[in-house]
Amino acid sequence: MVSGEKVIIDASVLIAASLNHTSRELGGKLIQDHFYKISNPLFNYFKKNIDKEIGIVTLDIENSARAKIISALIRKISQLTHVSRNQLSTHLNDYSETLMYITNSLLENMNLLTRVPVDETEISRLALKIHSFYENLKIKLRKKNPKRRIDKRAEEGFPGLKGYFRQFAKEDEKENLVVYKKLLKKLNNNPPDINDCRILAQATYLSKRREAFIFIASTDYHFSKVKLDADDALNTFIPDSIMREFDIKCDWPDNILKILMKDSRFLLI
Amino acid sequence: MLEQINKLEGYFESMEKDGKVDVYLEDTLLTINKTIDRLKKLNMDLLSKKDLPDHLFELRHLINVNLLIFSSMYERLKTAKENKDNPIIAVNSLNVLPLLKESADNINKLKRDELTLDLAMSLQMTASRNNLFNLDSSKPNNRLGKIFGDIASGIDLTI
Repeated sequence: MVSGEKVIIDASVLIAASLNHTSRELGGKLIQDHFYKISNPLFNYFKKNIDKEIGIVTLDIENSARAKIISALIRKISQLTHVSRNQLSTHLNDYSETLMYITNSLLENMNLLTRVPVDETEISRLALKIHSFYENLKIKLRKKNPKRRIDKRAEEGFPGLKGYFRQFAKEDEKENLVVYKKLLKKLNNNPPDINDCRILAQATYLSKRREAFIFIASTDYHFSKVKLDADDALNTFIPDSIMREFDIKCDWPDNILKILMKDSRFLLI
Repeated sequence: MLEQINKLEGYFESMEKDGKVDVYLEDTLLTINKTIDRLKKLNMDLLSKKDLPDHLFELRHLINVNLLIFSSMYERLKTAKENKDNPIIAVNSLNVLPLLKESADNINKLKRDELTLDLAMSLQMTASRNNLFNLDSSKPNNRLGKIFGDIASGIDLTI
C-alpha cells in the first residue's frame, strides 16, 4: 500500500515533456512542444524524488504517447518549415535523427514513472461509468443555456429600456454563455474517446485502492482547464466536476508541481 | 539479412550458455559487419530507386535504428573482455534479436506497413533498455553523427 500523493501522467504531458530537440536537419531550429516548459519541470521533480515513485503511468498511457508522438513531431516540423502536413511526407526522410532523439527523450521520461498494474475487468466497468459522467456533463451544460433567462429579464424590463435590460442580463450571464456555447460545442465535436475514459477510470481505480491522493497531470481539455474565450481566462468546469465526482485533481503539470512542492517535505527543485 | 540474424542468435545463445564470448567472437563480429554492410546497401538502394516508395521515411528510419543497434552491438562485443561485459552483451543482444528479426522481414520485403514506425520505436526502446542504443549528443563525432554522416557520404561504416 502506498501513501501520499500520486500523479498520473497523461499522454499529452508525456509527449510535451519529450518533444524538445534542436534539429540538425532544420539547421539548428528548436522543435519544442507548446507545453514543454510547463511539463518538463514536473519530470525534473520526479527525477529528484525518484524513490518516492510520485509519477505513475499505465500501459494505456504509454502506448498512447508512443502512438501520438510521431504525429506531434510531424505537426511541429510542418509549423517550422511551413510545409503542409500532407506534403511533408515526401520531405520527412531527413528527420530520422530527430525522431530517434525524441523517442529517446520519451523513453527517459517513461523511466521516471512507475507503471502500475490495474484490474482490467474493473477498469472496463469504471470506464462505462466515466462515459456516463461525460454525458451528464453535457446535460448540465445544456441547462446552463442562458437564453431563456436573458429573454425573461429583458421582457420584465421597463418599456423602452428592454434593450438595456437584455444587455445587463447578457453581462451577468457572460460566463454561462461562454461555457454553454463553447464547451458544449467542444464536447460535441471532440468527445472523450475510450482512452480518455479509461485514464479517468484508472485514476478512480487507483484512488479507491491506494491510500494516496491522485492527480492527473494533463493539458487535454477532457481533464484540465481550457481556454474558451479570447481573454486569458481558463475555464475549469470539467476539472471542477471531476474533483466533485471522483475526488481527483486534474490540472496542468506546472500547477500540480506547485501543489507538490508546497506540500512536500521532499527535496525541492 | 534474416539468415545473418539467425546466425547471430546461434552465436549469442552459445555465448550465454558458455558464459563467455571468446570462442565465437570473431565470427560474430564478422556477421555483424556483414549485416551492417547489407543495411547500408539497402539504404542506398532505397534512395537511388527511380520511383521512391511512399513509405520511404518509415523504412529508412527503421534501417537507421537497425544500423545504430548493430554498430553498438559490435562496439560492445569488441571490448567485452576489457569492459567485463562478458557475457552480458550476449544476453542483451538476445533480448533485442526478436524485434531485429521482425524488422529485417519488413526491410527485406520493403513491406508497406502502417506499424513500421511503431516497430522502429519499440526496437529503439528495447535496445536502449539493453544498453544497445546510445544517443550521446554531447560528444562530438558521436555514433549517431557518424552513422548519418557515413550514410550520406557513402563512407564505410565498419568500425
